Amino acid sequence: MKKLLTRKYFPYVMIFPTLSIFLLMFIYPVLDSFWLSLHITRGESSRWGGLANYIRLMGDHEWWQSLLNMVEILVIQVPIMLFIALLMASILNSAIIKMKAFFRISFFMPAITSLVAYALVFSMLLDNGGLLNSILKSVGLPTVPWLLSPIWAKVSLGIAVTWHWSGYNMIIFLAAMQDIPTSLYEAATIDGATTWQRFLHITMPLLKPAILFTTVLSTMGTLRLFEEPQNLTAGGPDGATESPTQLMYQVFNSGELGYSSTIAYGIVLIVVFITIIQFKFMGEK
Amino acid sequence: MYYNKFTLISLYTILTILVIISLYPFYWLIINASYDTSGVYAFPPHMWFGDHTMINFKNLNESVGIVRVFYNTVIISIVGTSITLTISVMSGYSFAKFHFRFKNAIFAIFIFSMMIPYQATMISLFSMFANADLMDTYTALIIPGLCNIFTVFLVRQSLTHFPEELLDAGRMDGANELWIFLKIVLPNIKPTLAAAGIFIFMGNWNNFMWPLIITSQDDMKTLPVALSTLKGADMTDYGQIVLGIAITTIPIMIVFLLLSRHFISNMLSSGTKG
Repeated sequence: MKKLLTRKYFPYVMIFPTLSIFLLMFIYPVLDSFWLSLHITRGESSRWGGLANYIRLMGDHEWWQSLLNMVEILVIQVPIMLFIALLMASILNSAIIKMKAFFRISFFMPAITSLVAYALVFSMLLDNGGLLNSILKSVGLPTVPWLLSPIWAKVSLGIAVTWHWSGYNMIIFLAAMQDIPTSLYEAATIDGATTWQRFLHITMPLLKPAILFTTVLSTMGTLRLFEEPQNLTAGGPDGATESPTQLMYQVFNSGELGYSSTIAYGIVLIVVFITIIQFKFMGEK
Repeated sequence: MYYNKFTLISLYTILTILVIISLYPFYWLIINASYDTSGVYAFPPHMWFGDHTMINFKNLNESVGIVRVFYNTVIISIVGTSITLTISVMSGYSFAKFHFRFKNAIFAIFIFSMMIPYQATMISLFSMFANADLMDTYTALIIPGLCNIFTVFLVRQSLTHFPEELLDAGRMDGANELWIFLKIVLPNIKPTLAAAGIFIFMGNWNNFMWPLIITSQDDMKTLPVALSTLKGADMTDYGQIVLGIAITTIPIMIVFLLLSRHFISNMLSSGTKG
């Protein structure tokens, strides 16, 4: 026993619990899911299918639709959210603003809520007779079919996700901004640079790693959305907000473990592929 | 630096609008938990508490067994968070301060694994636990979440620059490695532990997909799952739903507000730099 507490053996003892759970609850399931994805399952019965499920995935209209839904939300929502986060961070990083702690905590608050809880709150606020439409009506504007039209349902999903994650991204930007030496700004000011020029030529270039990091996180997050479309829009209307993970869950629920594993692997491959592309793209610039 | 009054006023206006957007849903939630459906949809919205809270609570307990569900969520979150934090700190410390076989290879696999979405494991985990007849048990709800590589990484980062002399001083005095870990290392990383603890706790408390697929009985559900089924069941009693959301959200809000200074400053200084 005593031997285990020596410098030579101690690290093995320390790493053992995490490593064994990692192997059993991560590595094994990841490999097993792949094995399952090569099988055709209907409830209890299961037989070898080779690449049959993958061929089915390639021709599955619902899969491509769900993927396209996420890409549409991704290319519009992520830039808007990161812009808002950058705006929050830049204002809170300037010397003239007081009560910074209050603003930081307020902006971060949405990020702590359960995804199911905030999706349900938005489903009520954006309901046809909900608060937002009541406000529009009261100021004489036409109401908006937030959750009832395919396009507006995507917008609603984007609004909800933006509300939840902007403050989180703000903190990442703030952390990066605080690392920029003030001497750089002072030197630029002496050379006559305006606030805007300082932001564009000092802050932005030095924020590149943080922007890359938040872009990757947000992309991964959007591609694997589940709680929000499930609880806010129920994937509708007409599948306009259905996400790949929702599709996986539905197929899983219908007892097709094999094909739902194939969908899971589809999600994995796309997430890993896009992440690598983004790192490459931003790294070269 | 010169700023005119106009700039200052517009900056504060932007901040105020953003604060209202960020916080109003919380206020809406807390207020409307005490109204019935027509109260929740009233316009202009209620700004102060109503008197329907107890009726909502009674109804909510009848429809989803909210007391039991709350209890489940507390148990899972506390047990899960304690174990996860303990074992993550243990391995984070090993990675930061020791040499062992395959260290770099294991660490590389850990980092790569953070890129793999959880979807890749769910279905296999489901068949694993279902075959072991462990559906609807705390064991099944807790175990798959115990391995938290992000925390291992966070702890390793914050211990990388921990002074080697302090450890060596302990060794000179003849202390064993466990004593050094417990008495020298741990007391020095309390802020990191607190921040990581909140992160893990929130993850457990808010977790949805896994409890959704591994529970079938109402009395083993967690708060997010119960809420989701409530809405899914064509429920038209919105007072109940809002109260359920409030019960899910308020405990996390309290934990966060009590520790927020700690939490955000840790994120600002170490957590996000990688």
